[in-house]
Formats: sequence, C-alpha cells, structure tokens
Amino acid sequence: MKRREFLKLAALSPAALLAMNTGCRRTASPARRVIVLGIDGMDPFLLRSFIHEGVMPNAAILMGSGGLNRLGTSNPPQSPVAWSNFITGYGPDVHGIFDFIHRNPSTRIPYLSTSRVIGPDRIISISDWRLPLSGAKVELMRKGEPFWNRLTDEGIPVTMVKLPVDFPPDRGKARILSGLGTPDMRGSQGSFTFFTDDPRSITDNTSGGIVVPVRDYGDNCYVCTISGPENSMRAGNPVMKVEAKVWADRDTDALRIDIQGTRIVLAAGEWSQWVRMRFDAIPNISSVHAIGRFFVKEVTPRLKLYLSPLNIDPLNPALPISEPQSYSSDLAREIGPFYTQGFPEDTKALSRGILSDDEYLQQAWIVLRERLDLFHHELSRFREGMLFFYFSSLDLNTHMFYRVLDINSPLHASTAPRFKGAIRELYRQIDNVIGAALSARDSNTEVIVLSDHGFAPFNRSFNLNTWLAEEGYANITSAGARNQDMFAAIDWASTAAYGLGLNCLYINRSDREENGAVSPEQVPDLLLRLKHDLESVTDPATGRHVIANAYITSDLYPGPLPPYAPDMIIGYARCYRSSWETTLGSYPVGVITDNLDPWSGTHCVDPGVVPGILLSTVPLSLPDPDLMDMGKSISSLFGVPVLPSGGRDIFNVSGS
Amino acid sequence: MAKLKLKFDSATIERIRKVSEVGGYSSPEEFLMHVIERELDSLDSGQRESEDEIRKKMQGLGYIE
Amino acid sequence: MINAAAIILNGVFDILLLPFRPFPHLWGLLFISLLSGLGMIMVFRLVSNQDKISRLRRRMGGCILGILLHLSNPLTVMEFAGKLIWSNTVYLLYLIKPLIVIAIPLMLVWGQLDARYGAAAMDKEDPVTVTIFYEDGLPVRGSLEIGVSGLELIPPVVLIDTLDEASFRVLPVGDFHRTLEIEGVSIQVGRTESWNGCRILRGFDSGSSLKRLFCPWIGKADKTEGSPASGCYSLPDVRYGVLGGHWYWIAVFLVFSTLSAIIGAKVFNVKI
Repeated sequence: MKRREFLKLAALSPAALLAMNTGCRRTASPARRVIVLGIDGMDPFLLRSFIHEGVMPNAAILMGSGGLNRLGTSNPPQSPVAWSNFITGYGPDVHGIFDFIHRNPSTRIPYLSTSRVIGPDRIISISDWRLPLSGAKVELMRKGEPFWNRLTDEGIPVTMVKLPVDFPPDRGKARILSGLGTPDMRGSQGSFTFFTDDPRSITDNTSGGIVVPVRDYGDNCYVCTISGPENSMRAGNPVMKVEAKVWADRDTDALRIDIQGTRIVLAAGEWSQWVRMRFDAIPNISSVHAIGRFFVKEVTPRLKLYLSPLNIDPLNPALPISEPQSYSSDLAREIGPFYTQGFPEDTKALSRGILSDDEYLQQAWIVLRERLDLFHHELSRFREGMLFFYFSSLDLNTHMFYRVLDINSPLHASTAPRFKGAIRELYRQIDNVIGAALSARDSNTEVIVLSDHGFAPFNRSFNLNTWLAEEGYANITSAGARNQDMFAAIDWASTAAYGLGLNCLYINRSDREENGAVSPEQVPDLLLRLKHDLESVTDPATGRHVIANAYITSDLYPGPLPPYAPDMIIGYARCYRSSWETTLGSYPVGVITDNLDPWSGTHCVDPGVVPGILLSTVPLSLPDPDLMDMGKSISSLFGVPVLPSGGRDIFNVSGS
Repeated sequence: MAKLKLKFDSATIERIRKVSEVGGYSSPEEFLMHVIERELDSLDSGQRESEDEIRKKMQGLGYIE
Repeated sequence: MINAAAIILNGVFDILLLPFRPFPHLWGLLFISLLSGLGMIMVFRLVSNQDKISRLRRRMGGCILGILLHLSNPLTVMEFAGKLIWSNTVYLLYLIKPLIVIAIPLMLVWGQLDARYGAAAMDKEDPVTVTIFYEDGLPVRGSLEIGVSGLELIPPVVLIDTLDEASFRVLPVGDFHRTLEIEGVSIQVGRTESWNGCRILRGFDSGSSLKRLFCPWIGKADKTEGSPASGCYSLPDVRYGVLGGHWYWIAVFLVFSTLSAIIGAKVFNVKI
C-alpha cells in the first residue's frame, strides 16, 4: 500500500466507523420488550367504575387500545392456584396447587400448599450442639414448567419481581424475586410481636402474632425480648432471641430503642425505618439476619410497641428468596431493604385489633411505597425481554376495606367514613404504575396489565363442617371440642366428609384416610348427593343460595389427580365464604353467621363471581381470555419458535 | 431390602412367637416389623410435624383464623 | 502535640486518597490495603534480622527433613521435633520487635480506614439518631437547648435520666457544614456527600486527644459547664461488593493487605 493511500484510508476509517455506528443506531429497531403488571385482586367492576370516575386515566388509555377484558380465573379462585395457572398454563391437576391449604391424605393434617422445608439429612450431635452436615432444603411444591423457560431458552432476558407461588424461586436463567408464599423469619406467613404492659392487651391468642408482656421497674426501661427463628444447631431447636432495651420518656411521649448497638428514637404514632437484627445460632460463627419495623402505638400511660413480622433480610437472605441469590442483595444495596415476606400487609394485626384502621393503612402505604421504588428501579433499567412486576396492595387492602364499599357489610356502619376513599386512592396509585409503564413504551414495547381474580363482599360465613355434621355427613362425638381445630370433635369411623381449607371438601375414604368410613364404591353417589345438598343450602336470613356451584373435582379435572386433591371444590355465592373456623377443621355452633372481621372482602368464591381483568396494548384475537392463556400469549409476542404447551395464544400476532 | 441382625435370648424369642401368634401376625418377623415401625413413627418427630408446628407455619395467613 | 499529629495524619490520608475521589469507594480502600500490606512487609524487612530468620528457616527445614528421614526411629524424630519447637519459639521471639514497630502504625491505619470506610454518610432522607452523654448529670428538662446548622432537628428529644443520656434525630438540610450547638459548644456532625476516602464522623468527645488520634471517626468538642462529655451518631455500616460477596471494610483490608504482603515478600525477597 502506498503511503498516500494508507493515510487516506487511515483518515477515512474512523469516520466510516462512526458513520456505520450512528447509521446502525438510526436504523435498528429497539429491542422487544413486554412489561407485565400482575395486580393481585384488581376487580373488573371497581376498575370500570374508577375509569369512569376519571381516577384511572392510564387504564383508560389501555382500555382504548386492547379493551377491558374479564380474565378467566382459576377454580378455586385463590391466589396460589390462580398464579400457578398463570405460570404453568395449566390447572391444578398439573401444577398441583388446589388451595392455600392441603392436607396429608392419610392423617388429614393440614399444611401450606406452596412450599416446605426439609431438614438436613445428616447431623452430628456434640453435647447440646447439632451440626448439620448438609443444609436444610426448601422445596417449591408447585409442579409444572414455568412459561418463561421458553423465552430464556432463546436468550430472551426475563425478570420476575415478587412473583407469587415461586418460593424458593425456580432455578434457571430468569431473574426472580419471590413473592406470595415467602415466609417470615419465624417460618410463618407473617407473625408480628407486640410488647405491652397493658394487661387488657395481653392474651394467649397467637393468631398472626404474639403479645409479649413487659414491665417498667421504675427506671423507665423495658427489656423487650424479640423471638426469632428456631436454632436448628441446638438440641430441641430453641428459639433464638435478641434483646432490645426500650427507654420511655413519658414527658415527650417518645421512646428510645437500643438494639444490637443501634439507637432509634420514635415518638408515639411513628414507624421506624427497617432495623437489622442478627440472631446467633453459634455466637461469632453462625448467625442469620432479619429486618423489622417498629411502630410506637402508645407510650403513656401504657407501652404499646408493635414490631412487624421479622422479614428475611434481602441483603443477607437466610432462605433462597431470589434467583440468582445475589439478586435480592443487589436490590437491597441499590434501593435499601424491603419487605420480603409474601403477605407484607399485616392484615392479622388489624383483625386482632393490634393496629387500628389508620395504623394498618399507614403500614400498607409503607409497603406500597417500597414496592413503587422497586418497580421504578427495575423499569428504569429494563432494556430487553420481559419484566413481570407483582403488586399485592389492591388484594390485601380490598380484603380489609371492602366493608367501606359495601353497604350490606355488617361492619359498614361502624367503619369511619374517612376510609371510604382508601381503595380509590390505591387504585389511583396502581394507575400511576400503569402510566409509568406506558411512558417507558416505545414502538417495540407492549404493556399487559392482568389480575388473578376480582373481589366480592364477605358478609356471611358458612360453617361447612358444622353443616356437614348437622346434615349427618359428620359425627361430632366430643361436643366440648367443637371449637378446637384439626377435627378434635369428630369420630372418624362415622364421618363421611370433611371440609378443610377455603374451598375444599374431602370424602373420608376408607382406602385413603386413616379410619376412613366411605368405601370407594360409595364415593360417586355420595359426591352427587353432597353436590345436590350443598347447592340447595339457603341462608335463612336472606333466603339466598349460599353456594353457587359445588364442583366434583374429577369432573373439573378429568385427568389423574394427586392423592391430596380435594374431592369437591365449593364455589360460594357472592357475599358468602367458608367461615374462619371451618378452614382448619372446627365445628362451631351455627351454620351461617355474620362475618365481623375487618377482612371483609373475598375472592374464595365461585370463579364466575370474581373474574380477573386483562388490559393490553395488544388487541385480543380470541374471546374469553383466561389466566392459563397468558404464558403462551406473552411468549408469542417474542416470536419464539416453541411456545409453551398450556393455554391458547389470545394475541395471535403471527396470524397463524 | 437391607438386613439387620438382632439377637434375643431363647425365652424372649419364645415370647415373641407366642404374642405374634395370638396377635394374628403371619410370622414373628411381621410382628417385630410392625412394633418397630410403630415405635419409630412415634419417636421420630421429624417424620410428622407437630400440630403446633403446623399452626405456626400457617400463622399470619390472613385467609384463615 | 497529639492534636497536631492527628491533624497531620488526617491530612496525609486525605492527600493519599485524593486521586480516588471520582472512583468507587472500594478502590480507595483497596489502595490503602495494598499499600499497607506492602508497607508492613518493608518495615518487617528493615526491623527484623533477615539473616537470623533465614538461618532459622533453614534450620527448621532441616528439622522437618530429619523427621521425614527418620520416621522409623522415634527417638530421633522426637529430638528433631523438640528442635523444631524450639526454633519456632525463637522465630516468635524474632517477630516481637517488628510487631511492636508495626503495631502503632497499623492501629493508626486501622482507625483511618474505619473512619473513612466503616460507615455510610448521612442520607438526606433517613434521620440520624444523635445520642449525647453527660458526665455531670442531665440538664433539667426544658433547659436543654440544641441549636442546629445545616441540619433539621426532628423532635422529640428523649431524656434518659437513668443513663444521663439524651437522644434526638437530625436530618441533613442543604449542602452546608452540619453542626450542633449545645451549651455554647459547637459540634460537627457529619456530611451527606461521602466522596471516596472522606472521614465520616460517628461521634464527638471532649476528652483526650489520644483517643481521637486512634479513632479519627470521633470529632472534637470543647467542654463547658453543662455541655455533654461525648456523643455518638447512629450511621449504618457499609459493605463492599467483592468477588460476588458483600464484605465489611475489615475483611477487604485483611485479605488484600495480607495478599500484598505475601506478594511483596516474594518480589523483594523478604524472609518471613
């Protein structure tokens, strides 16, 4: 090459490269992106009303492009079942989740359906110490293949934030932060601690949390012992504890909380930031980390100090809450700690009167603000693929405040009018989320908003087990034990059926249950008779039918069913739900009673009563969309060669 | 099936034979298996969670009491 | 004198870390850790008797070889083992001098790193709890006046008579220097911007200057009648992302200073 040619080429090359580079940018289309907002419990009726009121302008925009569609929910329409339908594209016969609560088919002992902890295989015991040679495992009990595997197989990035029924998260190439189903540090679904020296507040009731009596011995100091997780490294698994010294300043109505070297000042009525706690299994060698929020309900005249359920610290997770494992700690470093438990809104604290309506709502807003921070953080860095983001706020708060919407609620009159706008305000916030997703949209981005179910009032409780006993399907032999759970009152040898969980009924089969009374040949006739009798039950107070449909499970799901599957799924009519007592096997007096719990909305009814919603920038090609269709439909938007097998492609963008 | 040898004195073996016959077991081995399995079930707390443990895990689930 | 030493030391570290200001905090921490490891090994070379250590190491090697060669003869093995133990003891004695020499600088570096990389700076959204300690009794309620500059004081002020302590929260406002004024004494609280290597105060003390030399996260405050003797601010710890983990500064320092000391010993042929 001659010198002049070389110089010419050298001079041209950077310019050519620059031109090529800028040229590429101008002509290349943006990467394919789909934003899926999973809004648990968004109700089609409420949504339509708020759109018409002008509260939800962004939802109205979406409604204009793809329509506001009712989305078929699962049967039963419970969140773990419905989100499993969404994830796998199949019903409970495939993913195996039929209810929040399943039972051991033989012993009838109930358990949470979504995950379980399996202890270490081998342990060395040295005196009082137990050293596990292998780690404890947490097992996700949902079966079936997640639809996004088809996307990640093609190299499409997938991020699922606060994904329900995915604890521990599915291993794979998707980035996942687990949501509904994630326990707190005590292994429960959320267990608060309430420290008080008010004798009226001290009870043995442990529903949703524990009340710890404390005392001031004259120095204005309360020693508050916080119970954490069990110590599996000590014989007998004693509970690990952390001590907090709480100093009361009654002149200013404030507290100073000293805990593990941190000092927190809080006035009455204030919530703390997240407080980190370390529970030592073996001091200086093995410890687990938790986070909690304090709320000072009262200092004078009595101490009333609430501590939220101890959440798994996302910075140092004691259990696998994300995939990859570093995802949760990265998020915590980027935006600060956040609620990791599956049900972050402390509905139990409200139901038990530990938190008032106002205080509960403050906590619910803290949860929502955190969730919004997380959403905006993920949205701001979302460049390609699918981003799924789950919001729990509408679901749990509609459960708690349906009483303000429904004039027939037994609690409607006693609820302060100022809470009437709470649900509207929450919907407005979710509309802002939809707005943010629409703002992030470009020519190659689609936005889908869906909910797993809608809502109905829960005004009347149906004691299914009591009804079974009164109708001769169950035999109560120990009347004194009627109010005890786990079927303490029952003689199994003369009991034909029992209810457990929110929508499930089981036949007491002789070939399945211990001391079962019904032979396999008797089962079909018994089911038909039960179906007829249940669908005929009417509420003496209103004359209305209590049960819209009693579904025989094998009719709904004709394929082979797992042994723990219910024999019948009860689809309650609007306003009714299984009673609080019946869900865990009690037989209280009275078949139908008023529901006087603030938990006044429900979706554990007939699926036809509570469909979900579907809003989308993509118009629908097929009618009657269902949650099970969503995985295949979302995957088709990416044009992947192999679509998930479950469901239908309701968008049918390829026109096939 | 793995094997495990047990040694009994002759008087005990005689008692096992008699009890298993009276109890309607097909063999002394079946009787021993039954007794051991029952005892293992009652002693091994890891196999079946206690009712308190189950209640604790479901605590906080708003849908139930 | 000690005050001047503290000022000089702070200044030296400020200058050392100046080039790292635009970069992530971990870089400055790594730099000081590597430098410290290298410094320690060089000091070790200067202070220790390298010839003696070299001879001792050879002797210890010989003892190990002797044990391996005479495994069948227990008496000889025991003889070599005894020699080995003695050599080890002598080695430890050789180490005393360099360790004494290194101890003070190491404590000073440790304090500087803790002050600069141990705690997060104040966040404009998260209040910081300030606790002040009195030696001569808490002031009477109502008489305690706290002035603030560049800060917002969030009431209430909690007085704990049993402990002679008062606690309150402050929130940084604007970008000014942040100070508290209690009984005419001005106390520097901290900063919101934490550029790489800046000192983040986590308390104050009106006592000895020596404490502030070794614990440079403690600010200076004068003592007047009725003013607090000392105080502390609740600032969160900081972790650093290293090799996929989240490390405290101590772990970063120990690992990387040791690493640099080992490499330094190899490169400069230092017998350790």
